[in-house]
Amino acid sequence: MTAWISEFVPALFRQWAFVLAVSPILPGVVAKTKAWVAGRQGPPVIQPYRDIVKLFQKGAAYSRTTTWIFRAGPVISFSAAMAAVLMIPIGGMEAPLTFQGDLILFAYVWGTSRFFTMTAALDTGSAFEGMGASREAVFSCLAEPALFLGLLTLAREAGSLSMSDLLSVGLIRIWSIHAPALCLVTTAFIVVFLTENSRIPIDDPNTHLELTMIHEVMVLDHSGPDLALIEYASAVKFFALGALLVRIVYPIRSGGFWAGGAVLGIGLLGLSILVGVIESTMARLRLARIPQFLAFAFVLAGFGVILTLAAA
Amino acid sequence: MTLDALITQNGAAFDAVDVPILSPEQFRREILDGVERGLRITAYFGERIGAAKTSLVCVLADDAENSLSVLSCAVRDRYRSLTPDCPQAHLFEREIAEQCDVIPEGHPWMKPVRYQSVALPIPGGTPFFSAEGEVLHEVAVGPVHAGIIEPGHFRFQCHGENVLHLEIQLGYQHRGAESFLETAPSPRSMAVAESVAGDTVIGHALAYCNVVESISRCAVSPRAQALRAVALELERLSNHIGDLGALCADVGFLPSAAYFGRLRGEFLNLLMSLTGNRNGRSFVRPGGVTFDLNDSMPADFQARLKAAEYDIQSAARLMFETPSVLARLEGTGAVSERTCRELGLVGPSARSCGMPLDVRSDHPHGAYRFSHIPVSTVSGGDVYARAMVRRIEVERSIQFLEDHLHDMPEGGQDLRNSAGPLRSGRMTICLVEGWRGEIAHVAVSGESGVLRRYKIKDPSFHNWTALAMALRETPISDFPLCNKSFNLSYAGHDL
Amino acid sequence: MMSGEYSAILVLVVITNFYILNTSRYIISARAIALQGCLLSLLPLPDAFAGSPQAMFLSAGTLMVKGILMPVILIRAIRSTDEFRVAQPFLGHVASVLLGFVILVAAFWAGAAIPLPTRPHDVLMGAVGLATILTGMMIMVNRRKAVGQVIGFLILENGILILSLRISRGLPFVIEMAILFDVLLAAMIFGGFIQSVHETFSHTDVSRMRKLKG
Repeated sequence: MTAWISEFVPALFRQWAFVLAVSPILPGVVAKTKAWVAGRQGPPVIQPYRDIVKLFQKGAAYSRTTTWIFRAGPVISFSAAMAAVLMIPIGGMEAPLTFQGDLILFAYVWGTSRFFTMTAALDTGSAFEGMGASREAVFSCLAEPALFLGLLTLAREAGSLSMSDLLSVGLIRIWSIHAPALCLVTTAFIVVFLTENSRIPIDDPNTHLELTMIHEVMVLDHSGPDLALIEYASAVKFFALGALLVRIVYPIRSGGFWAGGAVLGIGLLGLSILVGVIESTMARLRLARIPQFLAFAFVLAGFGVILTLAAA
Repeated sequence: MTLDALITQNGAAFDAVDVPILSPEQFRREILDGVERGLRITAYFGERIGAAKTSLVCVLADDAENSLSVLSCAVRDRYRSLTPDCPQAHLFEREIAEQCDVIPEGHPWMKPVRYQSVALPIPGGTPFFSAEGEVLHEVAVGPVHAGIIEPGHFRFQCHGENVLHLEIQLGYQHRGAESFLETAPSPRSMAVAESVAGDTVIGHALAYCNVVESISRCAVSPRAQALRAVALELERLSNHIGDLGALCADVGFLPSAAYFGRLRGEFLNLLMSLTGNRNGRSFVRPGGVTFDLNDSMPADFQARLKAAEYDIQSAARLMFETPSVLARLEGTGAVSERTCRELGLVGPSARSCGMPLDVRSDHPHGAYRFSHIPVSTVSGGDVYARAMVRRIEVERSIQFLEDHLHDMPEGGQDLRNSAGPLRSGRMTICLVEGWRGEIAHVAVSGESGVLRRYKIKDPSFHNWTALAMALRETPISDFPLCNKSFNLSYAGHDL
Repeated sequence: MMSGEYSAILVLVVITNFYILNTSRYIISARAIALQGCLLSLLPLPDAFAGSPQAMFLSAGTLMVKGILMPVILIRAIRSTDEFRVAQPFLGHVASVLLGFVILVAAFWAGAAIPLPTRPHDVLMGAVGLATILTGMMIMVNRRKAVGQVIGFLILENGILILSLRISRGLPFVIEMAILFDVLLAAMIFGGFIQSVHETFSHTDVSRMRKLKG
């Protein structure tokens, strides 16, 4: 027991330290890419760190109509993000937290986080936040099947329900047999990634127009440290779901924690630049067309499942 | 059938006593007949004459005949409302009611237009139109907004994401612009005219100057007229381009948004080279303009226009050929041609419904009498059409400027004539096609060179209702986009 | 050609099917059809490299007719009607995409069940062919404008081509070419049809043509 603890605890803190240190730079890189494409200089890539530090130094304002749920929202969404990253293997090692079925936990931790963000939004009683919560519920409902079908494809081929096994060397074998299916799953995951992280074309993280927002409108009433936690949690979410994508596309798994971490970090920077380019070249979808877009992702992931089944 | 009214033209002055005074019934019938035949209510206002008596004056524009008809009637404290039969009159009658204490009987939606006095209800203090039901919900936005914009309250009745009804309540900033101008022209009144709407400085200043010049019978030299037209088109260009950029930014399409943002600056800078101010303040003055172009400037302007035109074309092509942008613009917030007619819309909003309305060609004034700009119409009435009208107008305005700068009338000494005193008892109606549409200034001069009544109508006064109509059965998330596509003035409404 | 690339082509064909189901813009549908035609022209290539001049001709013919000629005719017809902006299907986009998915599953099930001599990746080919035919039929039924019916028809034809490649390896190439030219002819007739309908009624909404009877 003590041996397990002495092994688990350092791994745990090492993972958290890495994620917390790296994740805020990713939104910074996205912003920089967008600025660069638009011919502007843009904020420095470390701006998100500064914002988080600044927000932590401020006080928070709470409406009299809100209850403890409103205050719990940011804390829970941050904790959920921190819990989820523990299941992501970095480098050649297993993730700090790994067991059969952690895949499902990974998907549902985000569900918990979303549930509390939504209830916190509803707790304010504002019409805007209610609309945001309703939109978030609908769109995440549609994005989730795509995520699960994709994970199912991978899990079936890997023969395991654990993230660490899924994203292991075995992926190279799967790529060699089922390249088209994996391409489909990857595309579906990119859509899920953009949806979950509220990026264009699903949502516009930079808009100030309350009526069009999805995710941003739900956190309008949060301020100070609460807002910092929310910003941090969304950066960590970007990291976690991005890591899943990067590990699927680049399944080499060797080396120690830091070497693997460096590879992962570079992959994530590439992903951030890709997101920046997508955001620069596409307009946002009309809200009514988002379900269509997500249904397309679902079908792609489903097609992936069919292809692997048909080949068997 | 002829109208029993005084027929006049844009910018012509006539004796105020010549305006026929009809009986209220006849007045009503004439207006309804006129609107039926396709005339538009351009201005409709009241003027108190003596105790408990008000004269209602209505100006109808006949765009096909290039003429304006003026008619009036005298009422005591109430009259039968026109609005139920003629929706165009809606806001005008509400305005008359609060400015002159005359009640239009049978008006369906009697509410304050803007703050007038403590005795009357304040804007936002009256109940809003509401719908009841389990599945309906209400969303209130403003009057304080997330961006740095002017105050206005929007009340949506929604069914899920769809808007059933939108009510717009403005009037949170009553500045008393009309009463400021109802004195003898002074340097200060010019500053007021320029501030009616901060983004339409040239448009409103031009309308005011036309009024003063018309009543004082002051001639303006051709060169000054030409320079005024140049300034007006530059104002149109900078605003239209700014709007195209803002539309791109609203749909989250960055490249065109950034380009248009820069290009808007190019035109503001041109306006600054001409007038010394990026918004064109202190340029148009009664009797002429304050600055001239020197010999080298037209060539310089043309070179800058050429460069900007090329950039605009590439940015516009990018915007109008990106499928994801088109998917957002097309079919969003459509206003039908019938609604457009009924509400008497003006400017690009009307032209995007396929209505060929443009003061520059329907009621030309100044330099527009000699060189015409083709009217740009697009059908559809949606956000796409409103964006497209702007794109075409930008091209045509640049073309107009290039032609005009090439061929400026000679002159220079009489750039600014002195306007002289106002003649008494005269009335004039001056229309200017500002970038938002028809600006109408109507003035009646009293004894000894004062203006007895000064009425300003910004195009937004007509068009705000169109925004409300555009939102019907449209997802609420498209509201900001629709709003931007109209880009109406709060200040021009809240005089 | 490796089987991975072969199946990649078929996967892309299916994706273009869904893309067309998902878009409401006819010009984009027509471009997707062009892409699909180009993809189909790659399918006979393995046989061509194996030394079959007929397959080579078939590939070139498919590229010319399905990849270039027909899309060009179609895009012209769409542009001339001035109705290329938005099209509303009877069934919503989400529903039609999901229905398309059901069709795909059914096609895989049926494709595996067809008892024919099989070579590698034949199962996939049969299934994709079937799915493409059914998707084309669905689009034909589901679109209001005449252009939509033409697009559905062309997809259906593409499906038949795939299926015929799968069923009859040795079918005389004359027949294949004849089918191709039939399709080309049909596309030209449809193009003219769309234009004349548009000129006569100033719209091509077939759901409004019920009023024509009597």
